[in-house]
Amino acid sequence: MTLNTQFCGLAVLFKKASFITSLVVGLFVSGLTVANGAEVKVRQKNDFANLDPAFWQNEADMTMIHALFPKLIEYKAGAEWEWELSAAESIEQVDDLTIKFKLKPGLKWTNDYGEVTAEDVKYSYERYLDEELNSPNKGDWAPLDNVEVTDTYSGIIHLKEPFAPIWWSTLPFSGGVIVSKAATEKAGGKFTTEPGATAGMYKIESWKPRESTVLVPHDGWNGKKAAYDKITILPITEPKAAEIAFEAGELDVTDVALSSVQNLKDARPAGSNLETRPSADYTWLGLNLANPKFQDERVRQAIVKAVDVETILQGAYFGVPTRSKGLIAPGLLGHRNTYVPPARDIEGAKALMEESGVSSLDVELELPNTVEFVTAAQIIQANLAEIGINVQINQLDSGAFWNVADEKKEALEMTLKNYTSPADASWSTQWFLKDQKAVWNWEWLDNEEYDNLHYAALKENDKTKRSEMYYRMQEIMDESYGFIWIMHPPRVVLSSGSVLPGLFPNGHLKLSAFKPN
Amino acid sequence: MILYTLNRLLLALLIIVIAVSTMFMMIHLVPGDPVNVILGPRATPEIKEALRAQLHLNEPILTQLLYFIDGLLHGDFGQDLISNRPVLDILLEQFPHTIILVVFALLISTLGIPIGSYAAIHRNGLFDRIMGTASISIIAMPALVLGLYMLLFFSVELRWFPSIGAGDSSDWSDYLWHLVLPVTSIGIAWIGYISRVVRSSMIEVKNQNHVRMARAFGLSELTITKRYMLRLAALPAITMMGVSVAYIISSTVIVEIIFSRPGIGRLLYEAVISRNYPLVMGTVLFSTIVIVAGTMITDLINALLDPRTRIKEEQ
Repeated sequence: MTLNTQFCGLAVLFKKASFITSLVVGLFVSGLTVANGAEVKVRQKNDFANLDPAFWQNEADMTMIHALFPKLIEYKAGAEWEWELSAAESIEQVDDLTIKFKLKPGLKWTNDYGEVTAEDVKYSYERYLDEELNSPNKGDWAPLDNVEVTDTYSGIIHLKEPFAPIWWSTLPFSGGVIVSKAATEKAGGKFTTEPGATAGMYKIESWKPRESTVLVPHDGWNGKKAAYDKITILPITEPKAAEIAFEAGELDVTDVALSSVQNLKDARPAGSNLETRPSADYTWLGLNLANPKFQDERVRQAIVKAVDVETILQGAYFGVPTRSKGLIAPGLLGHRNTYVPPARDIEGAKALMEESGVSSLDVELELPNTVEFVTAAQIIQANLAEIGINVQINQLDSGAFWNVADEKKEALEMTLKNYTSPADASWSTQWFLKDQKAVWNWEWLDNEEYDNLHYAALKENDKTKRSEMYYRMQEIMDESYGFIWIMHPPRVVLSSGSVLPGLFPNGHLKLSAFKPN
Repeated sequence: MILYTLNRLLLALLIIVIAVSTMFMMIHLVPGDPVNVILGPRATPEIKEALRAQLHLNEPILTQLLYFIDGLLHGDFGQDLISNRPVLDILLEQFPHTIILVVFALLISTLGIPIGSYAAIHRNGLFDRIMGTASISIIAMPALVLGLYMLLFFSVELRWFPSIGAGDSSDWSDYLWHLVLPVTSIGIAWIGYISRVVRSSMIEVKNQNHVRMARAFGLSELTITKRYMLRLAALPAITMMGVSVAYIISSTVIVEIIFSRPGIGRLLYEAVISRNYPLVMGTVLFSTIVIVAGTMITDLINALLDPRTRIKEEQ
């Protein structure tokens, strides 16, 4: 066969292929799947990597854990942080140290591991105390003494000391997840991606790592009936790629980048819904109080007055979030609802700099290298230039950024960052204790009263008193002039008109609450 | 030829050892602690220390490198630091998706050979001019931009092709359908490159003595093109395709992220971000092997097509 005849052959093949292509395209387009009540396709930023509640890593893990495993109580879907009974028929705090519970009978584990019993609850909670397990989340159950099993379905949780977060960040969150004692012991006491048994509303039908996970209803679930026959979870790293997939009809639910919100509000895909939820996470500019450059309180005060938070919100976050009022997010106990953060006061800032005798100052600002953080840093740089402070912006990839305090210690100067938090204020306040300096307390806040209040609030079951404690702790942070609160990054969720996505108040997905619209 | 092949094999092995060792050193010198990523923010210093010791992270880099090489020699690529799954299992799951992407991208890049040949034969004609402009335009466009525009046009507007995922691997037609846009966004630039290279080589070869002699003997243009011109003119294009393997593999990082496809590129990106050292090393090793194999294969093809190459080296 000559070269030309080969080319001719190819040309014919291409002609045939283009004809077949047009046919297949037609068939494919008509077969595109969108939510119809039987199936829903949902985006997660990452694939899950660890389903063991004692070792979960990220939101993708927790989304799966919430759907796959039972808990005595769970967060309600909706805009307010509230909990409701889940696997428990009843649960009651008898006194500060005692919680009685009774499981609903008939909840079954997958893979023939039998019924979910109080023994499973005991095993699930007490394993956190096991030194050999070395769970990084053992703090969730630090005050646990033991779980007493009174019969197959009932038990009593005995605490060593009062522990207020138990109802907000332990029982309805990862610490409250019940795992199968038999299956977990068989796996050697812990597991990662292959739990021996699950007993949530949904179970895993198939998992293609980094491609998709398919959930189907679990027959052994004895709660509310699952609304979908199939939930397909697609790990899509890039939010823009997910938005394109949504527009192409290949996704039913995805969160979107803040930069896309205005466009979506102006021209939303037909029939879709957009929902914005403020998270419990917090973004702020931190000044290292231990650094010699910030020893003069007037310099710190000047920086606080000079930084234009409203412009940062507009410029870097497209005006979607509202300005933060402190460490603790709206909806959580301790949030300063009535507090009004001071407006920018550039003249006051200049006067303070003059008073301090510092005419010019060079500082380094470390931040993760995302577009939003870099834009915010550039605004801060311009703001501080007005009062004679030259800011050098150091963008770091996330791996290097989260190690920067460990490397620089007291030499660290300013950082722009975001911490995540579940639904209890103690999760946020714990990072700024004395013993967290250089670990997560990158502002080197060292305040006895703050530390005492944190530990006292953990034991305080009176909501009003506890709230006052957190309020005072935020005042202490303000008085240090080491924290410039920017926002509680909102989660914006885009869903097709055929789906009512179940969302926790922070916008994270509660797959068990998804319903057809 | 055997001696030449052996030489190439030894060189390939040396390149792999050097590349992997260098990468091992580099990833360990970059700031970032995998222990923080694995354990999250709430781990106590004792738990972190225990894990560091378990992963040998407290030991000198050279010792860690020896542990790594020892593991490799025993077929142990280590465990994914986050999921604890064997790295080899993860690589074997992800690798076929990337290899298929690379092979198809290379296949469509070979379209540059007939295009370049035709343009050279009809030098300065309409086809040559159009292809010249089109090639340069396509070459200048990064895979990222092309991929995004193709997604918007073919997936969102026309809804002809899927925008995400690799499709159902048990259904080859679905799988191929999911390949069209990613392969095109990577491979189309190489059609331009190859066609330009083949065109200029053909023009050069066209006036060489043996071609003129063939023409003097009255051989047909088709025979001359096939037997005497293309064989020589294809050499630089084949060399270029070997080099393109490295480029295409690096492009897969972007393309696999944009199209949310599984594969080595996306895996590498995620592993680097999370300082998942064993996974980084596994992906680097696999990618290096493919790149070195690609280069070696092109060297061997060149040696077969043009014996002067190997004879010179063997001497």
